[in-house]
Amino acid sequence: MKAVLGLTLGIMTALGGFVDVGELVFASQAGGRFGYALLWPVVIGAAAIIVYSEMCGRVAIVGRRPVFELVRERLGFSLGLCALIGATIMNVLTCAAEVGGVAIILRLIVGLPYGLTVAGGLVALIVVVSVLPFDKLERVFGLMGLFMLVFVVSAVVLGVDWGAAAGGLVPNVPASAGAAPATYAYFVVGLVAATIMPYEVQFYSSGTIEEEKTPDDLRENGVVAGFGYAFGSVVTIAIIVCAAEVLQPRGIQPADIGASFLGPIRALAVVGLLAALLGALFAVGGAAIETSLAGAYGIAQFFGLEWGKEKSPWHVPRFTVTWLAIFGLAALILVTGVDPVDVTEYAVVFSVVVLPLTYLPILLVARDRTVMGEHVNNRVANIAGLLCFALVVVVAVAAVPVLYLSRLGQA
Amino acid sequence: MSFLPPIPNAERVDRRILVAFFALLVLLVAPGVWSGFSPAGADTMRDAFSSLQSTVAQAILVVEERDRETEAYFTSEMEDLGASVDEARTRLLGGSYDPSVAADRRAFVETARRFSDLAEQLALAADDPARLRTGRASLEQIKGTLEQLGAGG
Repeated sequence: MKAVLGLTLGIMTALGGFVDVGELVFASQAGGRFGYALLWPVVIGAAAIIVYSEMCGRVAIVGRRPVFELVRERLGFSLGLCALIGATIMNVLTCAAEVGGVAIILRLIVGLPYGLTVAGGLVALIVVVSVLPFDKLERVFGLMGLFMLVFVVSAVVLGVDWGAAAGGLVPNVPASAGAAPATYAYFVVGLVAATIMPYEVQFYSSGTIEEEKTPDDLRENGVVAGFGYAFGSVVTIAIIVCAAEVLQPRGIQPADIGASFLGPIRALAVVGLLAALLGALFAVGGAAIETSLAGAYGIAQFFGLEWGKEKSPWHVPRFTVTWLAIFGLAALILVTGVDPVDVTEYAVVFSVVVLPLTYLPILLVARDRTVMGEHVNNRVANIAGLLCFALVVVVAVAAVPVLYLSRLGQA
Repeated sequence: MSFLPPIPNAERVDRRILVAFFALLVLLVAPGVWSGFSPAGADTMRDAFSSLQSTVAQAILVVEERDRETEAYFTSEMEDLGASVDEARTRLLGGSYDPSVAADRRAFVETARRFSDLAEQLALAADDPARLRTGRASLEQIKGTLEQLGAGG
């Protein structure tokens, strides 16, 4: 039972990381525009995040070192500060997008005006983070996020084209990408980046320390990282399949979150819609909480401040004020009237700048026998880590030209 | 920064690193800012028509599936689709444009206005099958207009 409950940390992180508002939008757009052709970036991204989450969890358990402590130690103060600034900007932007996403989903559920659902959603998120202890938080959002499985059921009901799906799992350039290669590249970068957003490892690593895991939990760490993110990637692939089956034949390239639910509607009618809305509400809400806490974790860890969701807010006042401030800044961004989907797209693509600076220190420490002792990376983990880091660098380098050439995916 | 406690092993910030980092951030932000201030040209119009065509197709599907949706979903989606197109129309009307796309711009503004008005009306007709049928037909007409205009092409 403990092991099953332990899995919810991975599920919540994976759902928040994979199936947040960015993933809903990117996956639906990718399926609507390119059908099954863009399944492979999700698989590659999933492999990378599984490798790095396992590593940062192991480092957190063995060395009691969270991500931004490692960033500062291994990159030095100046470069580490750049990584922190970049990650904090991304966390604030992503948090704004997620809170906006929660508000849109609430609006689709209850039909109230957007302004009211933004205010209501924000208050609800702050209350939930304030009231629930860390383990309850992860379990509530992790378990409710399981409703996202309705996308998998919907994909099956709609009739998966298994041949096209198998083809889409192999890196390819479809004929439909010929007219817009930059846009295809934009979606490849966007899907990989959305899968390996830095806040995921920040949250996962800090959560592992919050839960006071010991070396006895190392096996569970591997299972949690693997199962959680694999689950997230299956849901993401299902969202792409639903979009490929329902949106692409009609020439719909969705620009709003609501279009993501047309697959479950077509497959399972009102039941599918409600399950998808509920799952998305908790997945996106979980991501909003993850980004606000990840931002506070990062700043506190970098500057050596006391931190911890499990500690009384009065004992960690700066940490508490920081996550509240991130929610506040997110609200300010939304008050300007900016579309959360636009914020998401910028946040996901811009996050690639921070990616190498976040992932390199994790890899360096996981390879360091003086810190990790017998739990140091073995040869397979080293090769996997290096390959994934190379992927992260390629995605980061490709981001800027792809942004220019594709006019943010509009070309 | 005085509210922060002393930072262990603090180092001086290397300004060259910070400058390079902020230059990279500016590089990332530039395309969005540039497109916001540059006059609407052929690319902008093509993107706008393509986006409108997609939105109209989405609205048709939402109407088609009305029996399988909740009223709140249908109404919110219609309102949001109408509002997003209206926003695009307003942005285009308020911004500068290349004279060579004046005709396309006029056609877009007119078609977008027709769609926004229709979406607004449909949002109020969630439980009225007759109005939904008429609205659906009007959406098909807008779709036809966009195809004639060579949208997305």
